[in-house]
Amino acid sequence: MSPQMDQATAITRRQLLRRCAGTTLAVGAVGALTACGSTADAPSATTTSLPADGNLVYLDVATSERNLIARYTEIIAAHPQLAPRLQPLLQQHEEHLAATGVEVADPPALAPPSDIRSALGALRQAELTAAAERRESCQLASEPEFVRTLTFIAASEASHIAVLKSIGEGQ
Amino acid sequence: MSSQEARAIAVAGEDAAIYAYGVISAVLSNTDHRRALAALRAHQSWRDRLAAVLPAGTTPTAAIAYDFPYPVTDSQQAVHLAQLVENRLVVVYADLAAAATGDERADAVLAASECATRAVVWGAPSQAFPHGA
Repeated sequence: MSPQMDQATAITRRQLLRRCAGTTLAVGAVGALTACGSTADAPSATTTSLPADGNLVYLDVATSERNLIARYTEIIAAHPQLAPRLQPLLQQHEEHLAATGVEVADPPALAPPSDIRSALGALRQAELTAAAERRESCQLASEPEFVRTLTFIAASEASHIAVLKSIGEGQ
Repeated sequence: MSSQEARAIAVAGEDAAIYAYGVISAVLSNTDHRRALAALRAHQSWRDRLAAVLPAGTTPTAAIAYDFPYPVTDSQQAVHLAQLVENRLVVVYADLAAAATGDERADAVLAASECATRAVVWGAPSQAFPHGA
């Protein structure tokens, strides 16, 4: 690994997000967000500048949900027998992502664990991390309605940990 | 909604949950009975924590009894009521999180997460935005 790559991987996602403050995001569901003023050259429905503080939290949540969606998708593809139990959880992360109204790129692909127990363990760990991050997002968010939505997402992800545990016990 | 209003609603919600779990635990046996008692204690703990920060004289008084949406006389009804109580409290705590700031908001998010988790442990399907039907 080159020194540049070492440095790149040492930068956490959160640090990266902080550096992105003030960037313009592609926004799908403008209704969920506060647009900045309405002038003649107002941004289109699909490209809206977000308030600087809200910007980071929306982007952070969207990035995290997109990452969870990728991990579930990979593991369902590798272990199709888990699909009936995992598909609803994947669908719920897609709903969380949609609630942010922010579009983010797919994360780099990861090779899913080849055995089922490790795969479920990886998802449990990802959900634990996500639930803790959402609790932090609730502190960073300022709009009450978005805090409410984030609380539901945090609660949903905490409940996913219990679902994954029960799937693991059935294996 | 002010944070004090949201807190009073959460106390009232916890009072209802405590009453419900009294009935639920009486109907259930063995592991489910113990699980219901543990949930009852968790709700009492959150209730006391919330009530402690309400100004004197504003703490809602718990009702003597609460109406359930259906009679709770067998284990299936009791488990279903437990799922409903927990998922409804998620919404109450999401409202409190939205109205509160700082530590109180953090507590509300944690309480919502615990409620959603207990609903699933009682067999309810997980939801993207947990709420009681």
